[in-house]
Amino acid sequence: MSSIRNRVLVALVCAGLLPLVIFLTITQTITGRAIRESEYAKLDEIAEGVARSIGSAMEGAWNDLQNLKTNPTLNHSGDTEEAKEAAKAEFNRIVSSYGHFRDIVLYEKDTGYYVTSRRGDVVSRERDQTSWLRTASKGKITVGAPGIPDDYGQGERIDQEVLYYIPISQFADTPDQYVVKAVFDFSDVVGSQLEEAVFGESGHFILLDAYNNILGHPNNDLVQTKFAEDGEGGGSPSLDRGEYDDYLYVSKTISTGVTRAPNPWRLLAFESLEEADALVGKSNKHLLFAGAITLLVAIFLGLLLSNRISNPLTRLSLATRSIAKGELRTNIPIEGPQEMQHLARDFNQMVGELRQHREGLESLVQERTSNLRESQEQFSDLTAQLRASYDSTREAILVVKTDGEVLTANQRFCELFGIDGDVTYSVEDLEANVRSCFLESDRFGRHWNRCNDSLSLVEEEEWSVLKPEARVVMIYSAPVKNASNVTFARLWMFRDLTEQRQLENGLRQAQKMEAVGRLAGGVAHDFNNLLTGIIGNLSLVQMNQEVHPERMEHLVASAKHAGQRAAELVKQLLGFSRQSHLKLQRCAVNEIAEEVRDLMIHSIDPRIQIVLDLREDLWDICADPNQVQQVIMNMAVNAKDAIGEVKGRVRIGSNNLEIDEFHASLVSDANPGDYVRISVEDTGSGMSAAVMLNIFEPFFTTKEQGKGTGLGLATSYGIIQQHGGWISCESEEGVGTTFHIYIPRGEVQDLSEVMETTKEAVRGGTETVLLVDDEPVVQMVGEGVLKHHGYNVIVAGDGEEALEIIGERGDEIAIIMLDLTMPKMSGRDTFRNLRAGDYPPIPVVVCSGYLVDLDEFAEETGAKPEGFVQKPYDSDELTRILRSVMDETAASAT
Amino acid sequence: MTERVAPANKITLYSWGEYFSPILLERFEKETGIGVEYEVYDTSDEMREQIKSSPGEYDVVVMDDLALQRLRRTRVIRPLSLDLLPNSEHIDTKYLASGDSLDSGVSSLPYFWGTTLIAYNKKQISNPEHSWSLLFDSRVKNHVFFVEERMECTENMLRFLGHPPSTEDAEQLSEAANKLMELSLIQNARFGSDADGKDGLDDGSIWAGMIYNGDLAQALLQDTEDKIGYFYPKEGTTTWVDNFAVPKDTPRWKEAHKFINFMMDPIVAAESSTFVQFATANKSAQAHLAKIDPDLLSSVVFSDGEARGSTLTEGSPNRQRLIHDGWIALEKSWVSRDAAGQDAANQLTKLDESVSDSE
Repeated sequence: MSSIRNRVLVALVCAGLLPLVIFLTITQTITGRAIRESEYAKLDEIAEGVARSIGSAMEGAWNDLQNLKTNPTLNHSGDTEEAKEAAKAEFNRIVSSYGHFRDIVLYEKDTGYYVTSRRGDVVSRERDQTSWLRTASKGKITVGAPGIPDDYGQGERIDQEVLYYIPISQFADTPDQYVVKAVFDFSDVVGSQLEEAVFGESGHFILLDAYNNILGHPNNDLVQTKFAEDGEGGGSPSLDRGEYDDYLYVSKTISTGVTRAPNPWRLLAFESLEEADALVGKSNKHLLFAGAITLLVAIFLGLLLSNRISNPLTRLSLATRSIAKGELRTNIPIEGPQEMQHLARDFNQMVGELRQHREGLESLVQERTSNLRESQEQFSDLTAQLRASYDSTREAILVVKTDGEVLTANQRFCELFGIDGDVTYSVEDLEANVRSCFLESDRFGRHWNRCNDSLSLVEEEEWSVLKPEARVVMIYSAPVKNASNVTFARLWMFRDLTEQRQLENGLRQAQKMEAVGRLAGGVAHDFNNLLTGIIGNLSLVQMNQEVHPERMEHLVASAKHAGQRAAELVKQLLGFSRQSHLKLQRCAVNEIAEEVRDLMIHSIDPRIQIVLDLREDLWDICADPNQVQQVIMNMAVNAKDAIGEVKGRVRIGSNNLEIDEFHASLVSDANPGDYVRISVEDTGSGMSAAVMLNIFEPFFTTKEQGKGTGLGLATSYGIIQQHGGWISCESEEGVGTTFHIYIPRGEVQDLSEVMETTKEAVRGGTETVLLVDDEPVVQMVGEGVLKHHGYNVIVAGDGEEALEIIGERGDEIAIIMLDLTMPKMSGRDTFRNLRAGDYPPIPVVVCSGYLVDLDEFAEETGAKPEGFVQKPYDSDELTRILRSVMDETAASAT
Repeated sequence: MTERVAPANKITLYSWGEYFSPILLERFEKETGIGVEYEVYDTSDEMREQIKSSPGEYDVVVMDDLALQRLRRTRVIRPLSLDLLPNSEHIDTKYLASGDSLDSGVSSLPYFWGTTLIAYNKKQISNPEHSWSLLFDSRVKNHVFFVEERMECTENMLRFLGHPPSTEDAEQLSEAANKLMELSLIQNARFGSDADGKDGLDDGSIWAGMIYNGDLAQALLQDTEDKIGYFYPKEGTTTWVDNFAVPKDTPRWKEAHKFINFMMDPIVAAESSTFVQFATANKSAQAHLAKIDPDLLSSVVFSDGEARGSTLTEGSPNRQRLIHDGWIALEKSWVSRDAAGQDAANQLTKLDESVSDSE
C-alpha cells in the first residue's frame, strides 16, 4: 500500500464509496421501513377483510338460527309422530335453504335424548349430554366451540363443526321442552374462506381460538392442534403485528360479539419476509447497481489520476537509477503538469552539473593517482633505505606483537643471539634461544615476560650475555603504539656495550691506579717526613747519650710527637677509607661548632671574622663528636686558607632539614629523612668547576707542596659518609665557597653502637701475655707497656712460632695478642688453626691497623676473638681491653 | 389474548367414583402442593360430552379405551408429554392404547384394567353353567343386573349369540339388541352402574349379573356369607382399560402431568390398586403389591386367563347407529317399564287402601 498509485486509487475509491455507502444505508433503511409499512398495511387490509367475512359468516349463521326459535313448525307442534315428521321435514327444508347447516337435531331438553333430526344418522342419535345443551335448556341460545364431529373417520378430510343450541317450545303455554342443535359446517364456510384468502406467493391465514387451537390453516390436517406446540398451552405471536419465524404477520381479533363463540378468535395473516422484503431487495439491487457503477467510475478515475501522478515519478525513478549506474547523459522529458515540468527541468540541470563534476573529478583523480604513484615509488625507495639502515644498524632490534607474533628482527639481533635469520621461529623458541644466551637466564626470562605482558612498561637495563660471545648489552624495551595510542607491539633494542664497558673498566682501573699512586705517594711523603723526625731524633738520642737529660727528653718528646702525628695521619687515612672506629654518641653540633670557633680564634688572622649562625632547636645527631669536630675544623681551616691574608669572613651555620625523596635522589646513596646541616661558608677565592670535581679526592690539593696533605676533605667526606650523611659544595670564583655537611638526625635510642666509655682506672695484672707480632718495634713497645703494668710477656714473631709456644706453654698463657698482618701464617690463619686445633681455649685479642669487625672475622675463621685493639696501641686502651677480656674469661670459667 | 391461568395449586380430576384413594390424593397434595378436586361421572358418554363442552375445566380425566379412541380422534385430548412422565416406564405396555408407544408418543397412560364376568348368588343358584345364558335363566328373573354400558352389553350379547363382538352385520346387531330388550322386559333386568351391581350382589337383590372384576373382588371381600360366586362366561367377555388423559385446553398442563406421573409411581399404583381392588396396569407395582396385598394379586382381579376377552370396538358409524338405535329403544323400555311398574304399584296400593277401607 505504499505506492502513490495505490494510495490515490484507494483514496478515490473510498471517496466514491463513502457517500455511496452512506446513501445506500440511509435509503435502504428508509425504503425498507416504508416497504415494510406498506406490507403491513396490505396484510392488515387483507386480514381485515377476511376477519370481517368470517365474522359475517358466523353472524349470518346466528341470525338464521334466531328464526328457528320462532319457527312455527317446530314450535307448538307437540311430540306426536306426525309432529316429529313435520319437524324432520322442516329441518330438511331449513338445511337445504340455508345451505351451511349439515344437520339439525332435536333433543329433549335437559336429558338430551334424541328426538328427531334431519339426517337421523347414528351420531345425531346419541344423547347429547353437553353443557351447551344444558345451558340452552335453560332458554338461552348457546354456541359451542368449533370442533371435530364425533363421527369423523380417520383418513377423511377433517371438517369442523360449530354446534348451535336453540331452545324451542312445543306448546305455547308450556315452557320450552326441546332444544334444537344446528350443526354449522364451520370448515365449509370459514375454512373455505381461509383457503381462498391465500395471497401473494406465501401469504396465508391461520385462525386460532383463545386456547391457540387452530381453527383454520392452509394445512387442514393441523386443525384442532395447538399452534406452535410448545408442550403447554401452545404459543402464538402475541402482538398485533410483527415478525414470527420467517414471516411477517398481522393479527386481527374476531370478537365473541360477532361470532357468539365461547371465546374470541384471532386471525393471523402471514407473509414470508422474503416476499415482504422482496421489494426492498429489488430496490437494494438497484442501489447496489448504482453503487457498482459509481465504484467503477471511481476506480477508473482513480487509475487515471494516479497514473498521471505516478508515471512521471516512475520515469524519474528510472532516470535516477540509470544515473546511479553512471549514465550521466540521461535526461527526462519536460512534459506533463507544471510541477512535473519544473521538476524535470531542475533534474536535468542537476544531471548536467553532476556530469561536469564527475568529469572534473575524474581528471583530478587521474592527477592524484599519478602523484600517488610517484610518492609510492618514493616511499618504497625510502622504505628500502630504512630497511638497509635498519639492517645495518649496530643495535639489535626485535619487535614482537602483543599477540606474541614476531613482527621483525634485524640482522644484528640474529648475530647477537646466534639465531639463524632464515628460520622462522615461534616466539617461544625465539625467547628460549635468546634467554639461554644470558648469564642470568632465568632472571632474563622473568624480565622478558614482565615486559611482554605489559602494555606500557619502559625499561632500560644492563645485562650480561654469555653466548655465543660474552657480551654486555643494554636492553631497552618499550611498547609500540599506533596512531590511536593503542599498544600493538613491543620493541626490544639490544645495544652492545661490551667495548664501552671494557673501556670504562680500563679507565676506572687507570684512575684507581692513579689515585692509589697519588695516595701512596702522599702517604710515603708524609710518613717519610715524620719518620725522619722520629729516626732523626732517636739517632740524636743515641748519639747524645751522655748529653743533658733535658735535651734528651726534648728529643724523645719530639720523636714521640712525630710518632703521634704519624698515628694521627694513619687515623686520617683510616677515616678516608671509612674504616675508622666510630665512637657514636649523642652529639650537640652547636657546641662542637662553638668549640671549633674557640680553637680557631687564636690561630687566625684577626682580619678574618668567624661568625656562628646556629639554629637554636637543632636536632641531635648520633655521631663521633671528635670526628665531627675534626670535619668542621677541617672545613674551617680550608675556609680560612681560602680567604688568605685579607679581610674576610667564615660563617659556620647549623640547621634542621627534611630531605624529601626527590632531593635525596639527587645525591647518590642518600635516604630521605631528617638531617642536620652544618654549613661552612667563606668569602675566599672560590673554586672553578674543574677543581670542584676533584676536591674530595685524597691527596688532591691546590696548595703548594708541603702545605697540607690533601687528605682533609677526603677524610671528612669519608667520615660523614660513615655517619650516613654527605657533603656538598657550592663555589663561585672570586666570591666564595660554601660547604654543606648533612648528617642524619639521630636520637639516643638509635645509638645501638654506643660504646660506653667508662673511664676506669687502668688496672694491671700479673698474668702471662703471649704477644704475636712480626715487627720488632711493635714487639718492643708492646712488651714494654705490658711489663710496665705488671704482666709477664712471651713474644712470638709469627704464627707458627706462636702455635708452638701455645702448644708447649699454653696453660701458662692467660691471653694472646695476635697481630693480623703477618707474613708466613697470617693472623687469621693463626687464629683459625689455634681454635680448630687441640689447643687450650686461651682468649685472643687481635690487633690491626685496620678496623676489624669481630663477627666478620668469626665468619672467616670460624671463631670469634675475644677482643680487638687498634694499632697503633693506645697503651691505656690496650691494657684496659686485655684486663677486661681476662676478667670476662675468668668470670665465665667459674 | 390467550388466557393463561397462573400456575395452579389445584387440579380437577374427572373420573369414575371411588377410583382414587383419598390418602394418595392427600399425599400428592403434600408432595407437590397441588390440591386435587375429584369430580365423578357415571357414564362414559357423559364424561365425553362434558369434556368437549367445558374446555379448560378438567385437567386429568380417567376414561375407558372406547372413549379414549373417540376423543383422540376428535382431538379433544392432546398427546401426553412423555418427558414430563418419567414413571411411564413402569407401565405394562400391552395396556397402552392402540397406536401408542412409549417411544413414539402416547395419548394416554393406562390406570386400571379389568374384565367383565358374571357373578351370581350361590345361595340362590348352584352350579350354574358358565355362560351368559344364566342371565336369561328364569330363576334369576327380577334379579338380573347389567352394567349400563351400551357397547359392553351389545358386544357381550353378540358373544352370547355366537356372533363376533365387532360385527357390522345389521341382523346380528339387531339380534343382540333384542336380547338386551328381552333382558330388560322379560327378565326385568336392572341396568345401572357397576357400583349398583356390586351393591345388589351384596344385599342379595341381585342373583346374577354382569360385573367388572374389580367390583366383584370388593363384593367378595365383603361377602361374609360367602354367597357370591362368579365365572367367566364361556362365550367370552370384554376387557377394558381405564386411562389417564389430559384435555387439550387445560391450562394446568404441567400440573396434570405431575399428577399422572405420581399415579404411575409403582408404590402409588400398588396402593391405588389395593384401594380400588382393581388390577393396576403398572407392572413395577406388582412387587410392592405382593407385599401389601398379596391376596389381591392372586384374586380374580388380576386374572384374565379364562377371559378370552377383548376390548370394545367402535366400528363404523353404521354399526354405531344400529347399536345406538337398539340402546335407545332399550332405554325407552326402562322408562315405560318403570312407569308400568309404578302404575301397578299404585294400583296395588289403591287396592290395599280400598281393602283396608272396606274392612
